[in-house]
Amino acid sequence: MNSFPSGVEPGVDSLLVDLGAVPLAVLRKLDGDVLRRSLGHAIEQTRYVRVSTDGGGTERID
Amino acid sequence: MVPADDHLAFQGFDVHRLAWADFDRLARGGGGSAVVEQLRRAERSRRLLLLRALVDEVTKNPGLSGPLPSPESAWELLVRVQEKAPPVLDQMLAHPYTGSWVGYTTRLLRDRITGVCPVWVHVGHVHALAAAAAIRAGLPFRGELPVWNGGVMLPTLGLARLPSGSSWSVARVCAEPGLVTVCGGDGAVRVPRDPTSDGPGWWGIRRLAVRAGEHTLAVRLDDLDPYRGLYEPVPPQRLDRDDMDSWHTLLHGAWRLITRCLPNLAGAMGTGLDSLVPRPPVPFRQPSASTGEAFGSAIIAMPADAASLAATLVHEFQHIRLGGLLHLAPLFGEDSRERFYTGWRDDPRPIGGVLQGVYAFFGVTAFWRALAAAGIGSLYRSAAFEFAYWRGETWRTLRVLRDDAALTDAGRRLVDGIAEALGPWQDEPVPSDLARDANAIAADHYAGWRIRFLRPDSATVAAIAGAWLAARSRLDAIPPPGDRDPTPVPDGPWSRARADLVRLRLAGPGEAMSESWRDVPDATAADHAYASGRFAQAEAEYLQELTAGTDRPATWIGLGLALTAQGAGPGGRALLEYPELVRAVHRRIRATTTPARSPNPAVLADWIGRSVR
Repeated sequence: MNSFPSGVEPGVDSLLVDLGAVPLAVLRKLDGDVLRRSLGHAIEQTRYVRVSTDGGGTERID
Repeated sequence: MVPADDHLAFQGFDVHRLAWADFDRLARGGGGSAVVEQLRRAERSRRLLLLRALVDEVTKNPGLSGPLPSPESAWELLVRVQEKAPPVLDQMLAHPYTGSWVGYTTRLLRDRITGVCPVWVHVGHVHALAAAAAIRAGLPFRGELPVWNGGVMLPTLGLARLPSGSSWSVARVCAEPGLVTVCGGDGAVRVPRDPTSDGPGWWGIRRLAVRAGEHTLAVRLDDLDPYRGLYEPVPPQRLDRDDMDSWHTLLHGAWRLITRCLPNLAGAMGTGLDSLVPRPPVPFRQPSASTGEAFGSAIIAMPADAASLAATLVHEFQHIRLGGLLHLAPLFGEDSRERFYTGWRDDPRPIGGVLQGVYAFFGVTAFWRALAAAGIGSLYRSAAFEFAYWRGETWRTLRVLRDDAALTDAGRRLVDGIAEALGPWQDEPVPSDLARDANAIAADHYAGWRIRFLRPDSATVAAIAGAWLAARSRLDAIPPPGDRDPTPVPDGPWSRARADLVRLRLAGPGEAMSESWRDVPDATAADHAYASGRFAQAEAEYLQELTAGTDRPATWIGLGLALTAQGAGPGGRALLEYPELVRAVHRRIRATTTPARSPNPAVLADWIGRSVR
């Protein structure tokens, strides 16, 4: 999580690929290990829904 | 397929990162809008990844589309939207319930289960997203959309209401220049030119915009989107016009307070908060909620006043920011054991919840601190009390949390950052009577947690009970019981009545409480006496309740509070620091003797308290 290429300010390094510059038309057709790993990570994260409720009597995260 | 690494645009992208400098700002409650923008960009990528995976999955299994077209057609419409109006696509991806929908539907597909509606209805929501985006972009198109109980949702725009013949069906949508219609069954609805307004068969999603100084907060008040809830899709719950007006007034007041007290946070909130889900008021409570999947949304019950709403917005916005950060970096390992005491929950919590709570109540503490410092006469005493209470409770939990092995390095860094800001606040002056109230309410809650969730060692209980029955004047020294390993099942209910009554007293003139204390849930005459400062009377009334056989946790703790308020002594200390032991011994003695010989709870607590050291 903390390995950074030289010249990059150190910090947290996530498993989410940055799709900010990828048009939808391209994204639909993309493939590759990096993308597949990130897809798997995003799907895996949906197992852990973090819900916060306060004072409502339902299940809460905090 | 295009190999990712061969595509020029793809070669240029990287993973989402957050520099430690920004991480640390966020930890200390700062970061402003710039850090929120980074979290938003990561959310956008995350949602796109899930959308891509969902379309892949349904394309491979066309039966999942049910009677609706393939999601490929929705994707193609979204491509057209991006080509014509890129910001519109960004708006739809940023919509909080795009996140909750795609997360929910991903779980349905992965686990092969049906949700509230048939799977095809949830999968088909992608057509609703694409249609709403195309309408926003002014694109002509035709499509088909899922219908739930006659409702056709166009996210961020509104809900068309068609005659309902069945729970789930398909509607047609047609967009031409200047005209959008939704048809289904025997009905047709024309979407108003201004979709935020209502029309025949149409409920628009209303917007609220409030301004204070340089800061603007513009949010949707979303009572329609099926994915605006926490776990499962929910039907619309339309707010009437009077409630809308009340929300506007309260939000304006709250925004003025937030921008005045926490201007940096206001900048972040203006960037990161998109949607409020209004819920009905709950007397003496301020329920609110958010989910990490719906970045930018908070569910909030109608508040009693602007200050309560401001504190709640800050609270939920902290959760929202932390939810975004958790999508970038794990802050704790997998550990679902419910083992922590916190001042904001009545039950033991796992580490993930504790970290969320510490960060959220750190923000709440900052708000009340700043509000107290603002010197607004009518709000000062309540604000100073809340500051004193929350700084102590958050700090107490943080000190336990920061040494926990389940935190990752990043998690510990976050906690250390919070501590840097929160620590020095512990020594800031607060009027002594308010500090006393805050300490008493904190002791009340902690003791109430102990008596319900801790089980004293049975051999120790038997030995103490035996010594009492043998009429021994002193016990051998007993070490103070710890508070680890709580049980998951509470031994008795809890009451927040004393905390509510203290807040009622602080909020208004003394006579206000004497008139309205009976409205406070679970409040007893003894609680009223205690909160009014009539401690001897409270002691007598709590004792009477216990002698009559009441075993309510709140009564035992009330007795401890009343005794302590009249002067620190071993009995009050025992009842506030290890009440579970006193009650267990009392129960054991009572079970072996006649009611007439049952020990006086205050005398028993005093006797035990003299031996625990």
